[in-house]
Amino acid sequence: MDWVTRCLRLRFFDRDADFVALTQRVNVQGLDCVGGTLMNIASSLDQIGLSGADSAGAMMDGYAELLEGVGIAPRSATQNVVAMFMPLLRTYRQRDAEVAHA
Amino acid sequence: MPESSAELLLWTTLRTVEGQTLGRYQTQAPDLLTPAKSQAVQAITALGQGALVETSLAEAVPALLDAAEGQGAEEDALWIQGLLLEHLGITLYTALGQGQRLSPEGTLAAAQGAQASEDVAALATAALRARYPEPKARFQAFIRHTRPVFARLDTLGEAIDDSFAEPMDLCFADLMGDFVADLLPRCTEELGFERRKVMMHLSAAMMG
Repeated sequence: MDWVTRCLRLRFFDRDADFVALTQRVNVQGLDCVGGTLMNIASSLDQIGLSGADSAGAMMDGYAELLEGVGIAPRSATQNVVAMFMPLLRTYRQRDAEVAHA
Repeated sequence: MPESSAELLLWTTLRTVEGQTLGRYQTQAPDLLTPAKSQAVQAITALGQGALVETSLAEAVPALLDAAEGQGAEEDALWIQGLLLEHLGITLYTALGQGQRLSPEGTLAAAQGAQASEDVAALATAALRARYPEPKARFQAFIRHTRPVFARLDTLGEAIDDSFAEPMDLCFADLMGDFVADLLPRCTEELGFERRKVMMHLSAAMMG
């Protein structure tokens, strides 16, 4: 991760907007994949004392830190990551509500 | 006056929420009822003389207000209205003031609203630091008081997308990004919380 971070800092030096656009494209696909996995293993996570919600929150914070590590301003990093995660949080909440009503 | 039905609906929504906020300040936290806040709410009230009926906001807004009632104590007004809802106000009023979303009167009211919310949020933060001198207890109070409101945000967000995404290019996901991006420094730098714990609390509350 350190090497990739350094590489990205150099590749996207002074091109914050290009890097953010790249992360938005890549991360939306990644979040769909990771989010689906999280939901599928949520009951297993519960058994070991982790929750899907805590994992999602930690991921948001971790992703924002990664963007900051490449040189994106903290506010912009947080804004982008949280905006990307909102659909995942909604899907998880709606699925939980469906399961509860079933 | 509002130039579109979407703008009228927007100000009507904000009038409803700010009306409860003002009531809370009057009875529970009078120090937060600044003259600028009163004037901003007056301007919003003048613009928001519509009704929420027959919109998706008709259920989502009362649900949010119900969650924002708290226990009726001063600390509820500080955490819920003073910190959380004022920060939502900062985010929303600032976004509304950008581009050509609003009428001239609306743009002015949005600017007034944003500044007033910024000032009140700063006062609330100072009061919370004084009320809870120990950061751990402060964080526990934060998660206890704010969870019900965070839990309602996504339902409100669906209603916001339904009502304003097309006519005003307002997207809840982007608004939430801005809201959290602005709230986090206040939580970490002024209230002494750990960033990761705030993010985990937010996601836990929103995911139910």
